[in-house]
Amino acid sequence: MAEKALSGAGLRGQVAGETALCTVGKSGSGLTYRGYDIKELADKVSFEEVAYLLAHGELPTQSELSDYKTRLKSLRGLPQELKDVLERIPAEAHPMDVLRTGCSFLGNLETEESFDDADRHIERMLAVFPSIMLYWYRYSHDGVRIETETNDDSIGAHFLHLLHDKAPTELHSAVMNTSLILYAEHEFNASTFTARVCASTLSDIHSCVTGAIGSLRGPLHGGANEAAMDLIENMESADDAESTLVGMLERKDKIMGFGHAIYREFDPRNDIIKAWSEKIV
Amino acid sequence: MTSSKPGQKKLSEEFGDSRLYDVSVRCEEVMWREKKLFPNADFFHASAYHYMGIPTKLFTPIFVMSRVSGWTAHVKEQRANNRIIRPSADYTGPEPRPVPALSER
Repeated sequence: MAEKALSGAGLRGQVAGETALCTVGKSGSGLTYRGYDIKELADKVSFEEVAYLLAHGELPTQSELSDYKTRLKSLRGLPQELKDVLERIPAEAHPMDVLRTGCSFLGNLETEESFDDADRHIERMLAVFPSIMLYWYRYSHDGVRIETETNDDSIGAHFLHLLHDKAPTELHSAVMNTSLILYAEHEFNASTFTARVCASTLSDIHSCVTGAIGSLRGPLHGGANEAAMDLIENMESADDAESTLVGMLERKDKIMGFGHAIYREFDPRNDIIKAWSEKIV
Repeated sequence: MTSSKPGQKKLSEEFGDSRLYDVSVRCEEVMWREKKLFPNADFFHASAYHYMGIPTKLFTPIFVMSRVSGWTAHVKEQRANNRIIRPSADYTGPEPRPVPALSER
């Protein structure tokens, strides 16, 4: 994992604060959320339980989880003003710009007036981001105004339902659940640090998240999964992949989706999503 | 595919069975053999998302839908024990110098 000292530009290896949320590159599998190993979380709980754990410090009880999911389900609707804004964003827009605008505009309609209200706004963003993304996507690409309030049990299923116009299979819901758990938290990465810098000025939570989305938009941070698809989608077979990659390495082309700023030997999230990727073929 | 729903069956046919997964596995092997580089969380997400019919341009937005849980937990943590984040920089610019008149630049 991270035994080698990290050094150099970009604040690599420097401690910039304290957190009780996450360890990256420490003992065990190398990634924990509030002390729980990522593999065990991916195996045993839902993304909603992870989101609750991150927000409140402990995993929810059965009744806490039930109440939490009920609240999240009730928060999937879009205000008409936000729908109007989303409908004016062109189909060629970058989806991250759409989310950034959607989050920022939500902050105009539902401003965090007091830090005591933070949890309510956090739950709202968790529940409504799939609605924002897919209302715009389906309107701009398919010309339909979708109903974003569905009865799907999970955030992952809600996303797939809005995208495909029908409830997803259990397998697909399970893959989405795992994927959301794997991406939920990763210590002081660039977008999270952006959010913390913004929070340190005592700004509102929509400003913190809008800024974080802006940092995640850059190709060195988010976008690596899209770049991985760009790499593999034109490979016709395993042998083609072999010759293509060897050629790219000889030309010293940048190859996305490999290596990590903190992890030295493996990324503990890879085995988990790889196993699901094989199952879903 | 384990599903018998027509939409998903079409998906499987459209994307030609296991090609993307097989290709990804070979990429993993080659990168380790040649460069001792391992796939990160993103790499196998590409094929997993693709098999669920998710357009590539929506991959990073899914990251947002998930990571907003972590971001906002960090915001709460920062607020609970806050001091404004204001680091310093090593200066690499010119030494102090006079401002020349517009006509002399």
